[in-house]
Amino acid sequence: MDKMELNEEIDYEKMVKSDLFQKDKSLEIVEDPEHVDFQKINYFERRIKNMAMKYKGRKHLELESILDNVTATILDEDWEAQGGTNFTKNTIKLVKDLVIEIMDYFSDQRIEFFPPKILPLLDGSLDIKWENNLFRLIVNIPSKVSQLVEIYGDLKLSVLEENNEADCRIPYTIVKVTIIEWLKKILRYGR
Amino acid sequence: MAQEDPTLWKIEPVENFLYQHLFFRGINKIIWQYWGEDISDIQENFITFPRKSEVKPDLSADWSKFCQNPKDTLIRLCLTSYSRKHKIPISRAIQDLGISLNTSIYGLSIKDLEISDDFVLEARKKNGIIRFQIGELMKLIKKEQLPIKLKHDPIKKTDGINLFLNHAHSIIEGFSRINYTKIRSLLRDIAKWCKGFEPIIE
Repeated sequence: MDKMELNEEIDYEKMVKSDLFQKDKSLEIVEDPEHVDFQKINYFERRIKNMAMKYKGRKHLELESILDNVTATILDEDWEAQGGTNFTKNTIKLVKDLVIEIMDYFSDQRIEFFPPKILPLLDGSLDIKWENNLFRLIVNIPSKVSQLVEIYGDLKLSVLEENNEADCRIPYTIVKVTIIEWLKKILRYGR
Repeated sequence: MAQEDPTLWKIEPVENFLYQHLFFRGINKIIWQYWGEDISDIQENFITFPRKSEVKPDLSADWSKFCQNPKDTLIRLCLTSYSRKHKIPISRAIQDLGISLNTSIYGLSIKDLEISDDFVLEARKKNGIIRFQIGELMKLIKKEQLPIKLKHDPIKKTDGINLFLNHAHSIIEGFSRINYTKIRSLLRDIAKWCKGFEPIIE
């Protein structure tokens, strides 16, 4: 069975009778295929779709709240006393967009991933940091548009012979692709 | 012939940074308050420079050869933060914070201040002190071929009222916009909180 689009009309009768449905243990929600409550399936399917959308929305809200928390520093007089530069709206937007795009990419690919930490720096740049027991990845979004984005990533497993270190400075426009490619490679080790 | 006292040397050569020596550095709350609930895990933004110092960003630290207690670093950090925040000289900050001087000499160092335990506890609510073991630092520099160097850089600074001395002051130099993120990531891996000088979270 091909992947179905969200709005596509589903032929449930055909689906239930298909070999795939019979063999797939995860879909064993109906005990007797001859007496299928199609309305119920339809209801569950709608709920799952809603939940998925809500989940995505919630994740976005969580990220926004993390970012709002960080940017509240702008109002913190101690930040200025330490020589800190305020974050520009543009830097915050670039961080937000990048994080949401990366999280959405992995969510769409059904690859388990986790939200990053957002760490402020005195020069007005922001670090986006993903870290678990397999790897660490830091993306430093500078305060000035003219500056390049700095990326550093490394693996925590020293047993791997291949050098998987990411260490580069690139324009923002290619950051998303670069990160995704590196992460796809790294996440394979975690499986 | 009288023996030369090395503690009177103005600047010490690099070879005097011994493996077991430590570098102490204070981290302000404005940095660790975003690390999450568990701040025992030091994050990479513990090294951060104001924009104005982009030209030559050096990381200041106190060398344990001349600063055997991280408390000195903590107090120094408190005083400079307070004086910067309120735009007042350090001598005035000492008065404002209710610290007594046990000397009347012009040249002051932290050991000339009488610091109460309560003051230290209050200070830890705003600052924590991390340490690098110099041996680990040197090993890292060699292994990763990092362009950073250690340098003894004693301070004699006047605030117009008093002269402040910090013979322990040293710097890690060689940071640039190009290597910044990699170096602070690698340094984070060898940085540890000084026992008893971790920040107190309220």
